[in-house]
Amino acid sequence: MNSFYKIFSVVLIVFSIIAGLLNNVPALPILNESIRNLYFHVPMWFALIFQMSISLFYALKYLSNNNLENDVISNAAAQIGFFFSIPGILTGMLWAKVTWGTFWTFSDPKLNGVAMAILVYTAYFILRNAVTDEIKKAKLSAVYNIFAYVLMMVFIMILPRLTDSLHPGNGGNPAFSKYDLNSNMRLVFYPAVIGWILFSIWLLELKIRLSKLHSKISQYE
Amino acid sequence: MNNTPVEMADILRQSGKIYVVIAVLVIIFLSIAVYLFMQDKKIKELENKLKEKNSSE
Repeated sequence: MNSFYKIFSVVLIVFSIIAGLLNNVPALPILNESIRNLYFHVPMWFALIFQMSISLFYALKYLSNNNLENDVISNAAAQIGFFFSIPGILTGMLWAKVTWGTFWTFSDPKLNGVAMAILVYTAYFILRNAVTDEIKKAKLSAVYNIFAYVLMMVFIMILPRLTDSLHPGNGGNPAFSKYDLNSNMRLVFYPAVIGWILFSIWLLELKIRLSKLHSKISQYE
Repeated sequence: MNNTPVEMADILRQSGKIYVVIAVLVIIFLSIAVYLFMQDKKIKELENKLKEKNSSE
């Protein structure tokens, strides 16, 4: 039961690799076969947003009941989420190079937003390291977590939709709705997203268990 | 736009070699997953050891 979701996530991701490379995709200019990156690049960001949401949830939970265990989970989720930004950005840069012609462009609000969001969460980890008192650390970082989450959402979900963006689905760019309508792609895209989110939960579980082991062992010392 | 054929990896698929790429990707991902399962098991063992230690004291 406990490991069922882990196996399920592996099955879903393997499915997305096989079906993602084999199924029929719309033949669109510029994108060509790279349209299949949708199955692999986008789930990274879904996993990131999911983990940051978990982090926020446990930060709020900590503020309401002052249980340090919630702080441990909140911090672990933020770390796992942060981790997913690395493959997310690297795959995005590669994809941008072949379709937009450049690894990075500051004219795209989503790229700027992601860079800002990463800085905001970097500050979260720095803040945590700066405070030695456990309770103070938990309280400060929980409050900052709310701020960071709202900023991230504004930077990567709201602002890109208000202006022109190279990213599909933003600023009146019709591409996402175009392949969103393609049920063939949805059939692979949704399992891939669920698979990677479950995979991120697995990583989170391991991280939480490890940090619990750490704190238990340090009691003996 | 619809009149100009968009270049897709048709030849790659015709020759069947795309399956090799899929197999490679699946093998890499599965080996990472197996490794993660092994780490999961090791953590479980540590947890059990700690539990025994706690109950014996």
